[in-house]
Amino acid sequence: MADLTPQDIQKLARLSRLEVAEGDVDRYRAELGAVLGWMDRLGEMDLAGVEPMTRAGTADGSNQQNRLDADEPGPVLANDVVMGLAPQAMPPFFRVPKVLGEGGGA
Amino acid sequence: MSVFDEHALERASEIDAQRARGEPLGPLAGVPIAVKDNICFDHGQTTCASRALEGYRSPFAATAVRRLTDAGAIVVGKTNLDEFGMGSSCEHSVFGPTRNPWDHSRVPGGSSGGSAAAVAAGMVPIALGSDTGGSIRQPAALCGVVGVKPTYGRVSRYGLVAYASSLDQIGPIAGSVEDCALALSVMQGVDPRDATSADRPADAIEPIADDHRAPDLKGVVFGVPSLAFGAHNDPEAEGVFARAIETLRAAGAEVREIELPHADHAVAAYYVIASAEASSNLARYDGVRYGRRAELPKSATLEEMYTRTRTEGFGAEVKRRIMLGTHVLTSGYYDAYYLTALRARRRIAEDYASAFAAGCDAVLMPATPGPAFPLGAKLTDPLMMYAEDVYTVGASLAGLPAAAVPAGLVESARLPIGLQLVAPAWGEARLLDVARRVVGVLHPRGVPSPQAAT
Repeated sequence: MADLTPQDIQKLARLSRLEVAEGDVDRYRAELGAVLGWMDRLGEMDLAGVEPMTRAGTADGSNQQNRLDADEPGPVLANDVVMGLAPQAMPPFFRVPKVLGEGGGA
Repeated sequence: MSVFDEHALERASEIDAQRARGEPLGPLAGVPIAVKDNICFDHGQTTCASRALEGYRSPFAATAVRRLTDAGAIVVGKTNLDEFGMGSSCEHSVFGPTRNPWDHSRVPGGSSGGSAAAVAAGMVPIALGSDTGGSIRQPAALCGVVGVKPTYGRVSRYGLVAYASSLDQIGPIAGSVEDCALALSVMQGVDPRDATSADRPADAIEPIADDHRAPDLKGVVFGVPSLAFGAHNDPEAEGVFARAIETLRAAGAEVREIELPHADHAVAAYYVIASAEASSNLARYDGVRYGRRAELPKSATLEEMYTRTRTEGFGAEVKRRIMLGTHVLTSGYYDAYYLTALRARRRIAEDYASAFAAGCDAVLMPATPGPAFPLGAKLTDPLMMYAEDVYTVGASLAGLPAAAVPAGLVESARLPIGLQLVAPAWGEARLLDVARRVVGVLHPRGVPSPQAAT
């Protein structure tokens, strides 16, 4: 079982933009530690010199090429449709908490 | 999840009118279909069974759905799933679990559990699922129906909510191989809106005519890996599989023992890769452009808004996979986990390629280690749940087409067991022809249904 410290859990939570309550830290240490420990089995494999396979269909050579499309504008969603989906909007803009200046946190 | 009764009746009336006017009708004219709720449709909600997308109404339909409706199919509703497709039991849904039509105390499998259950219960003849590591094949097997995961790139992913983009494929679940073939023949083909959809001529995956002769399997070579047997299997389910092999052999199939030397590591490699891709794909749920945003005091910062929105929006399994994926992509662990898994992925794909090069038409395995399990049985132990995918992740990692078909019933509990056939890339036409004959050979009096139990 991989050993994750409480600090590791809080760092992962921060990078994931998730909150982990203090009371849940030990549960995450146990659950993620157990899964990572099991994933460590991959280290048993002899993979020296094997090229990482980043997409499906490359083993037999098919579907290997990226497909390039003509660089032409296509249909796009209208601004009012997009704004209608937003939790908070000030059309034609999305509305978010203050980013810059005093009180801005990002 | 949602039922579109008025929409369905309207569409049916339109098709009736077309018929009355003598206009040509599509190959699916009037056929009711259900769609997994992580596939966009421009009617009703698309929730992914997540609070994060509560109330989300897609302004467009997925290409696969659009092609089916253009062929006359009528979407009658959206079906339940494990949140964003992450699960093997359909229990990780904010709307609660779906139950197995064969036994309401058991899971239907997942993540496309709602679609498989809807077909098994006779609600619709065809339903759409999505398959990342087995999410079409495993629930189809546990519900006693047919499910097909196409070759990666055959069906456009446009409008499929992304979980792990190098693995995700949309595919059909139906009561018969023929109906899956029909749906796939309509959905397949290049789509300018999905750069990973393959630019190749559409194959003739036609609905296969029933010639009313007893089917045989002469000349068909199956490779059965040693993985198919062992302590990880339910003994009774393994018995069903072993008997099915004997029946296929008696019908003329050649069954060879093969090795997939790297298959023991496929599930671990899959969960590294899928979690890594999920952590990246799900970064988009930030409460800015769509979906649900957390209620916050006016003094909250942008980062607090992101964090609170995501913490409230995602369920336990999704959070687990995002954090795992973040970990395996963190500098210092990237090589040990992510790159190692990608190297293992190539080895696993090469195992299948070797089997096909040696003359196997399909690799034959159980679809799952056992029949449908009781609700809650594996919910608190992620590793136990992940082990459910032992037979399905290989084809996903290798991008190969695979079909799950009913193998028979575990008699003690009267629950279905599925057989899985994995074929070479782009080999769906042959795969489905063989699968149709396998079903005919195994079930000369028809495939058993849950309705007959009551």
